[in-house]
Amino acid sequence: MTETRQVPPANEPATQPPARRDWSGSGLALAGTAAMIAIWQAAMFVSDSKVFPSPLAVARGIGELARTGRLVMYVTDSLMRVGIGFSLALLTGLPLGLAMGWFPRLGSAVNPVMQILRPISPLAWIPLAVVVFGISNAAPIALIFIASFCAIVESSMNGVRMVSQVYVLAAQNFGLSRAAVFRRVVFPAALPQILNGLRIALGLSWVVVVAAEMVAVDSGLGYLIIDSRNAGKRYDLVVGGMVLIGAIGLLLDTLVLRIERLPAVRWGVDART
Amino acid sequence: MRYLPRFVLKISGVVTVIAIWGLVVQVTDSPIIPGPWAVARAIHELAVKGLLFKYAVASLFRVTWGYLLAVTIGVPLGLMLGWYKRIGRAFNPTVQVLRPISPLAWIPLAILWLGVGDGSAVLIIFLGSFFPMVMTGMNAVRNVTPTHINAGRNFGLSAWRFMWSVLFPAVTPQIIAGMRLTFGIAWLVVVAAEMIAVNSGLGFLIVDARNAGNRYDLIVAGMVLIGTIGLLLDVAMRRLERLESIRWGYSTSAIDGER
Repeated sequence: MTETRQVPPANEPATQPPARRDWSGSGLALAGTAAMIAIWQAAMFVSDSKVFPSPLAVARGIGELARTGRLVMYVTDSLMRVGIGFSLALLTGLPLGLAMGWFPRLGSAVNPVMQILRPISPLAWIPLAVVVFGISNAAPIALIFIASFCAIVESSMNGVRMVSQVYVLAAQNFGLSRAAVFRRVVFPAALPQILNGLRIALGLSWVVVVAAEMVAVDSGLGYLIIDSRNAGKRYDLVVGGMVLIGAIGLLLDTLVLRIERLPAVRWGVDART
Repeated sequence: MRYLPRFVLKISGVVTVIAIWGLVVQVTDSPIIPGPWAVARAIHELAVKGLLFKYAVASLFRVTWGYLLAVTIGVPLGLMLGWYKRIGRAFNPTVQVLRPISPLAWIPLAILWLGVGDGSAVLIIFLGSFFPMVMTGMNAVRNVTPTHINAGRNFGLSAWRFMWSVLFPAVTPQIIAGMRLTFGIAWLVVVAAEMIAVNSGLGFLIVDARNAGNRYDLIVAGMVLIGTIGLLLDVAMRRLERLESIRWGYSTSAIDGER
C-alpha cells in the first residue's frame, strides 16, 4: 500500500473520471478478460458439466442467433422499448423534477407520493401493465417509463436543491430575474447531477426491459433468455443472451458517460463544490 | 408556524393522489382495477390471515442475506480494484460487462445451480447488489483527494494506520451512499426473483394473486406493502448516512445541500 506511483498528481481534480477510459489501449485489460474466460473454460473441463455451456458454445450460440436474424431483431426490439419508455420518462420527469426542486412547496407536496412510488419494484407493476395494455409493446414500455420516471424526477429535484446558495444569491445580486437565475445558473449547475441520474435511470431501464420481456411479451433479449430455457434448455443461448445484454448495457452506459464528461456539462461540477 | 403548512402540504399531496385514484375507479366503474378502499380491505385480509407478516419477513430475510453478502464481498473487492490500479485495469472489463446484465437474466442459471428456493433468490439479489457495491468501492477509493493521501504518506503512517485514519474515513460517506442506492436495487430485485423462483414473499403474493383468481385488490395491496417497506428501509439508511461519525468526508458541501 505504499507504492507512490499509484497516487495521481495533485493538480488533478478529485472528481477525475475513473480510469475506465484507458482500458482500450491496455494489454492488462485483455489479459484480465482472457484470464476470466480461461477460468470459465477450465471450470467446464473440471466439472464436466453437461448443461452449462463453455465459452466456445456461447460464441457459437451467438453466431447461430446472428445467422437466423434473431440477434438483430431481438436487440432492436429491446432497444426500441427502452428508447421509447426512457424518452417519455425524460420528457415528463425532467420538467417535474426541476419544478419540484425550484419550488419548495410543490416539492413538499409531490415528493411524498414519489417516495412511496419509487421503492415499488417496477416489476411489481407487471400484472397491472399486462391487464391494462395486454401482451404488447406498450406493457414493457410502461414499465420502463415507471422505472426511469422516478429516478429522473428524484435526481433532477436533488440536482436543483443542491446548487450552492452562494451562486443563486450572487446571480440575484446581478439583478437577474428569477427565470434567468434558473436558466443561466441553477440549471447548468444542476446538470452533472441530472445526467448522473439519467445514467442510473438508463441502467435501470435496461434491467427492467429484460425482466418485462421475460413475462410480458414474446420478443427481445429477455424473451430470448426465458424462451431458450423453457424450449429445450438451450443454456448456450441463455448465456449468449446474457453476454449480449451485458455488452449492450455497457455501450449505453459508456455513451451517457461520454456526454457527462463534455466540458460544457462539467461546468457545474466546479460550481457546486 | 412554518412547520405546519409544510406538514399539511406533504399530507395533501398523498391525499389528493388517493382521492383521484378513488374517483377514477368510481367513475370508470372498472371491474379490474381496485379502489383505495378495496386495497385497504385486502391488506387487512392479508394481516388477519397472517400472510402479511409471513411474506414480509420472507422477503426481508432474502434481501438481508443477499445484500449483506454482496456488501461484505463487494466493498473490499472494489476498494482493492480501486487502490491497485493494475489489478483494477485488468478486471475492470469483466466487471463492466457483467454489471449491466440484469440480475433477472441470471434467473435461469440460478435455478439451474441452486434449484427453486431461497438459494436462487438470495443468489439473484447477491448478483444484483454485488456489482454496484464493487463499483462504489472502486470509485470511492479513486475519489479520495490526493492531498489527503500525500499528507498521510508524509506523516510516515504505517500501511495499517494509513488505511484506518486516512482511507477509511474518506471513503465511508461514499460507501454508505452507495449502500443506500444498492439497497434500493436489492429490494427491487427480490420482488422479481420471488415472482419466478420461490413461492413465498411479497413478489410471490403479487404473481399468485394474479394467477389464482385475478385478485387485483391483493396485487395492489402487495404493491403498497412493497412501497411502504421500501420507503421505511430507505429512511433508515438515510438516518445512518447522517450520523456525525460518517459525515467526515462531506466537509462543507453537505451543509450547503440542505436548503
